[in-house]
Amino acid sequence: MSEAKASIDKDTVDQVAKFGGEHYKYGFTTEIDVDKIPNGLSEDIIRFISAKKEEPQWLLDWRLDAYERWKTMDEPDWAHVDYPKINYQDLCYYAAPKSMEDGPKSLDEVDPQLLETYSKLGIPLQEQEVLAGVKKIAVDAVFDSVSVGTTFREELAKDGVIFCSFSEAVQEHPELVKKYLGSVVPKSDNYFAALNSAVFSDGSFCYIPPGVKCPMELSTYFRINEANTGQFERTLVIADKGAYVSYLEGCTAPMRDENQLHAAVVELVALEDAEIKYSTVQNWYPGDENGKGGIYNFVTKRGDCREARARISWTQVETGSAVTWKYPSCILRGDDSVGEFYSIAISNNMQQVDSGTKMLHLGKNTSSRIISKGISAGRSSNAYRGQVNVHPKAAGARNFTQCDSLLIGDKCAAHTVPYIEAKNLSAVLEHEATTSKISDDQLFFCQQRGLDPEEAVALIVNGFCRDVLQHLPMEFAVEAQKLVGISLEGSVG
Amino acid sequence: MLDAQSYFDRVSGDLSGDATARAAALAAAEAAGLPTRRQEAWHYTDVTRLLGKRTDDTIGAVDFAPLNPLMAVFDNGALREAPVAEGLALHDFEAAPIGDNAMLNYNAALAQGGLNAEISGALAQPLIVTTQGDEPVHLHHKITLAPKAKAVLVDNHMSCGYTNARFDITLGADAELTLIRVQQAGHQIGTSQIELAENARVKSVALVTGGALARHEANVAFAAAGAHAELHSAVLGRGDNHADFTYVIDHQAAETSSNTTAYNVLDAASRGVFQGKVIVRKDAQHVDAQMQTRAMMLSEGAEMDAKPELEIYADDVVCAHGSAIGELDKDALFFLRARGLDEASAIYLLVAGFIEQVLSHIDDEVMADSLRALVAQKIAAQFSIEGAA
Repeated sequence: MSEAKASIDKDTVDQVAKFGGEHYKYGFTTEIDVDKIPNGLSEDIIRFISAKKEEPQWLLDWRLDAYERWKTMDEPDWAHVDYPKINYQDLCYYAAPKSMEDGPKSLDEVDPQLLETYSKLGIPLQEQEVLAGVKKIAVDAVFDSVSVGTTFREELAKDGVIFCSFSEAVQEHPELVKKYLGSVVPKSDNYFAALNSAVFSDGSFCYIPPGVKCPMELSTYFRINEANTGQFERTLVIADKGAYVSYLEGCTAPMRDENQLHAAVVELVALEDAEIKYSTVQNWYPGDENGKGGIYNFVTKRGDCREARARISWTQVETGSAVTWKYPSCILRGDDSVGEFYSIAISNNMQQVDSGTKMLHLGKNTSSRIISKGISAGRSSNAYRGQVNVHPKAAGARNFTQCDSLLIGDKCAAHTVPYIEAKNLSAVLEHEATTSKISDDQLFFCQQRGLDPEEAVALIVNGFCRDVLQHLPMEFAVEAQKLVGISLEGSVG
Repeated sequence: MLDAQSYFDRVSGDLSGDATARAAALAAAEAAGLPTRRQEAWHYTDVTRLLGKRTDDTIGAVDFAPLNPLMAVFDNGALREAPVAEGLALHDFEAAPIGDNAMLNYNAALAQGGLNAEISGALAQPLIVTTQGDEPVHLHHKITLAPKAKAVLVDNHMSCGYTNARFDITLGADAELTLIRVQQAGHQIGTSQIELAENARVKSVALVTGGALARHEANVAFAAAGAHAELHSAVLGRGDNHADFTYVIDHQAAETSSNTTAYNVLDAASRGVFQGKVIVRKDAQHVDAQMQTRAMMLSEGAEMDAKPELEIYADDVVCAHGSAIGELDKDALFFLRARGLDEASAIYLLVAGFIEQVLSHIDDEVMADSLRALVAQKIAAQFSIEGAA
């Protein structure tokens, strides 16, 4: 460790120590101007993060309580994934918004393979630079700077929609944050959620007032100041009575990212007659062919249909990350509420996916629908794990589940682990699962008509995924379709 | 049962074989303790709680007489009647080694005996192993079918007490076994290890009509091509019955196939559990594995938990599972009522028809009829109606 770094670290520790007391004698501001704090997790670090973000006392207490609980919890080991033990004291829990200094200077320095992928996805050049993290090109350059952001904001504000970063929301709408934060995913829900609750960096906050249909699809992609939300992202979306919002997360292009562990939490709250549609395309770095590197994506996503006739729909296309541990769920609390889960999970090379959903039927006449398509290629492992639970009081509950797995090659694995629990007489639950491979006949048929093997696989797989793709918003769907093909490159022939 | 150590101290003098080995097995079992819900395989079956429960199930006599069967009767664990037939050789009891399954370790420590049978040809009569009495019983049966041997084995559980039963079943090449199981009452934790050699075929049909705890675990290993297994189970739950079928269907070899169905009728506060895990090992190509679970819920308070799992490491396979849970089909009920049947008879027909989907897998009609009679008797008692006409 260089001397300078050592002294900065020491300064940081000293500064953090000052915040150790219960009282913020000096207010919430701090002069600390370092990019990183020392690795490791402690109360002091949490106090530091909270102070740095000028958070109110209640939020700090909330974080500290989450930390206390996290310390008593064990890392889950039931998923069908295998990765080296994570040393949580060896991670950095706060990084100031990253400067562009470390990034490549121009596209010439970017991995040509990555560029090839961009061009296949049809991403404009300038946008490519942003995605690849090329120095000095800020996202706003692509989307015509602040203007896009402000235009959007003005338009949203007209309807009373609040859409801002989580930190801003804490400052400007503390009553909403306080009311809903942790109300869907409690801070001690699971190991990774507790960790996130203690140290979450930033994320998005969205509130749609009663009766408002959000005029545009909200997307983190367009969010200019959210480019670096860090590895512990926290998203909270609230649709008040009769509101509607469609929210897009992530993007189809592979993103440069330095953090190996991602433990995000997403909470959705839908009140009476409200509808939330949450779409994700996740394409983080999956590691190389031998499984070296790659992101660990341990996400807790849950939606709460809190009142009658609420509706929450999750759609996800998961193609990236070395290890995925993710179960977007719906709590169907309100009578007549509806939960949906549409998923495509593609794993290639050494990727491991354990993903699925939970549908908890608590209210009367609730219904849920699960369509999951898992595609494994290379030496990857792809598991669907889903729970459908009908509470004794949930009369008239209805579920339909279909999970299909497609195997490409004889070295990959596909697993299906559904938990179907009916505690009510009138529940009607249906579950279907199949496992198959791309047949030689299908491949032959396509190739005979002039497609090369890779195009043929992409075509067949897209057909296999069609039920899910059609639930994606239009522009996402087109990109996702291409992504499906690209993710499977090298899996045949 | 709960205090296994003092029970062991009391009975160990009467147990045959190596006392030190038994004590070691008990120590291993006690170290692990009874399974808890924290263990994935026992998530839906809380053994400790269920062992403390009593149900008022009655034991109806199943009339096997028309089959002229070979009988092996275990009365409170002691063999009262031993079968004699051509092609059937009985051997001395063999102790089981310590493993990592706590229930099997308890069995290894406390097994009073069991049938160690070797079947060398085609047995003309079915072999019926009856377990009766009301005391805690640990039995370890070993059934070996030589290549090309053929047999029908009935595990007739008529005990009202606690039973820990182990069945080690090995089928040689081209051997064929039909395994019929009936449990009407009591607490039973049964574990079957079934090994299939080339082209061996096993067909298991299980019927549970009662019991505070009926846990039927089967681990089927397909060691060579052509092996085929069918596992069918029917549950007719009433009162506080708890019936749990847990299978691990392990396709270790290519060109093997399995077909599993589970039909549960759940009335009152009864609970049905089905956990079926199909594993297709690497290189076990051309496996065909099918699994279907159905449950008919008849009452508020009933519960069905199904977990049909697929774990697949080979690509050229056809594997599917399906699960459907719902209440009695109101349209079907209306159809029957419209044709003049009273409600109870209509329900009887629908329930019996549902269970029949499992019983129809029994090839021997006389055998199937004896179980149908039991089902009719149970349904009649349940819905206070006259049974099958």
